[in-house]
Amino acid sequence: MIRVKAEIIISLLVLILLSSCGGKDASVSVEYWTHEDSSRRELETSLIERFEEENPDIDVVRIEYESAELLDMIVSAFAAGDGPDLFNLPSEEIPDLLTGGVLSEIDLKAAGYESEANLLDEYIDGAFDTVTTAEGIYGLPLEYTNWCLYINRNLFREAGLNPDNPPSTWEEVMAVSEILSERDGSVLIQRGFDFRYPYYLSFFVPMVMQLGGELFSPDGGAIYNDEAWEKALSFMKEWGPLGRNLGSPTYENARTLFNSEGIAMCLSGLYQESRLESQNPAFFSSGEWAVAPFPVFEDTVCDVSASPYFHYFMVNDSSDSPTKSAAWRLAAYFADHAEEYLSEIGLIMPLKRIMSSELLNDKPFASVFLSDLERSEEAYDGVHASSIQTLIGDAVESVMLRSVPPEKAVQALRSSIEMLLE
Amino acid sequence: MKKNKVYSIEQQQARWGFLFTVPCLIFFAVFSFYPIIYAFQTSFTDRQVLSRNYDYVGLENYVYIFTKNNGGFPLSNSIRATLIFTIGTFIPMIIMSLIIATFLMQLRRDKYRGFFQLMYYMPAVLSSVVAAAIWMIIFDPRGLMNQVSNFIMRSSGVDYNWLVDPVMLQVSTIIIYFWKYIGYFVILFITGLAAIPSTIYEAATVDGSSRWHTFWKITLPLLKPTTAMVSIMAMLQCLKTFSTQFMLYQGGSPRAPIDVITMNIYFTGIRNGRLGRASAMSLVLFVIMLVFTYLQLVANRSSEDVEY
Repeated sequence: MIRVKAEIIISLLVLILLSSCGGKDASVSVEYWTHEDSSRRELETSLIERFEEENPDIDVVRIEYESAELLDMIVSAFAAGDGPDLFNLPSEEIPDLLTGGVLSEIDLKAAGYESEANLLDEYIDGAFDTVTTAEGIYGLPLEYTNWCLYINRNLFREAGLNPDNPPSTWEEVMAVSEILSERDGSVLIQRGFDFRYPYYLSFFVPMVMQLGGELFSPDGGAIYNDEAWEKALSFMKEWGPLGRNLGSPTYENARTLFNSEGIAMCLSGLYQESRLESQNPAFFSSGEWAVAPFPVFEDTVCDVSASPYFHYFMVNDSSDSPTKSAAWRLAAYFADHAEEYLSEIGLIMPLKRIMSSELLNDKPFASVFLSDLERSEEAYDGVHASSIQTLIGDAVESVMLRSVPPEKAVQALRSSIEMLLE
Repeated sequence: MKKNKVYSIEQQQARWGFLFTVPCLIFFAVFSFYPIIYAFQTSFTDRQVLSRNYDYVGLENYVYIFTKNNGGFPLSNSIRATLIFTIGTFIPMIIMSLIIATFLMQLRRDKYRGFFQLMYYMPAVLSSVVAAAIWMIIFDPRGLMNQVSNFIMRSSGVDYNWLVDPVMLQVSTIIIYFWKYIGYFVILFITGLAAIPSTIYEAATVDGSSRWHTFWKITLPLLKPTTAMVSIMAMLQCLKTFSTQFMLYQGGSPRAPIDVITMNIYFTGIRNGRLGRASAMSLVLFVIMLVFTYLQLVANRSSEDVEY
């Protein structure tokens, strides 16, 4: 009896295994990994539906991860010999994938371009620098973003400040934040402004550059001009909970709070406008918000704004050839709808036709973003850029949260970066 | 004529028993033993996370992790952070879970006991991400923890920097972990307590033993095997802690005070791409776990087995 039962169970298992192996679908399936963004989800879901209708042989599976974990998920998947067919990442997270040889060179034909020159001609200068090697181009730009200072005019007025005269220097930002902040003893109840902490290459390195420092010296050594770095770190120390207690990396991020009118100022890109419109339409249409240029230090020696960065679509080199072609076709399809990305979710694709379009120029405060772009230097996107950003963050947070003297933090940062680059 | 071999009932049962353990052995070999061997092999290489090619570098990775500061996050600091967390968590957790289990066993009605068991166990089924998110709200300067601290310390408007100050941050991770896992160990202790025959307690009561005396002279000695198992499990779990510290770091807290070994392995292997060094670190953690388990087994070894 036991033998009969065992035979039945084994037969069933074999049948299940066989059925899972068989029935291969003839169509190509593209797995697309991207970061969480509710507005983009809506747009891309609709674009994917249209794409699948136009390309019935292609199925697209769109999977979202939190921005902070997307890179780790992708690296882990690639390390295990797997990974998505199509994915997007910001500039600083790409160099290690590029040198790791896991990215596929762009399939010009599938993307609808006759030649490389034809592709480059459609985009602004430098749009492909991060994803270009001697062998070819390995990505297609999804977005081009720089940050400016968003201001809640209501909260300025309530604090007795003039909203028509927003702070233009970091010293003014600190002074104004002191007035805008609310405290119960030493407990900070409401902040006036706070930084975008994990993204130190985009806002903190430009602050150092304003003081004459650089990430790398002309001879390639890490951390150029210690004095500038120490000064910028001292500012952050004064900003933090152990200084004047105006903000901290442990608080809720400022750009989310700005939309619910919980903070007077934040740093964000043009896309913030669309998010504000969808999350707080009354505030958006009230005209009680504004955008000002990225501040500088009073004794700035180099007038630079926040560093702009790109996001790129990239394709897994280990996917099979038809899947790679389908993935590039999908990425190009997204790029073909750049106008929808701009009008619906405020994302700027760095296409020449977009950068000079009325659609962009008609966006509220677009001129502030565009003029800040002219005085900007792109964020570092060389080797180990992502890890270097983490190390800069550790240095900033060590002075802000652990009272490490800025001089020591600079020395530790230099040795950490040099060790990383060994 | 071939004679069929006759197996005894015990032998037949043993054959079936072995057959049932085969899937478990295969599972262990594939998912535990093979990765250990693979990590051991990788620890002697310069393997990078995205590269298939590597060279053997001998003991270079071990020399590196014990002598260099690993980009500002040396292994020595991780060992310190791990030991502080483990000692700070598992000892109070064992004591508290035993006390709670004993009190729950005193409840006369089973439905009350079931209710409290469920209450204590509930946090264990929450994902670490959700648990950390809840506690980050509680530890926020405007959150419950500052209010409670100010009430206890008879202060007003003082920010105790639960997520910022290095000491408070370590205490925060201990509290989160303690809250999350204590229910699990309470259940294990209740199982152990339920296995002690009630006749022993009845005999003790007849002999005039007080509750306190009964606990020390009967309950605790008879619970020794459960205590040994729970303490080893709790200690190993604490040594492997990762998600609580990682979530707080992702939330903006400084890394150094809570940079436990597993977190350093993750950053070295995945973020910095140095799989060889990360494997060497994981082997060090493995050895630490092995040594501590051995010490615990020696400490808990009894000359007599517990028999009821």
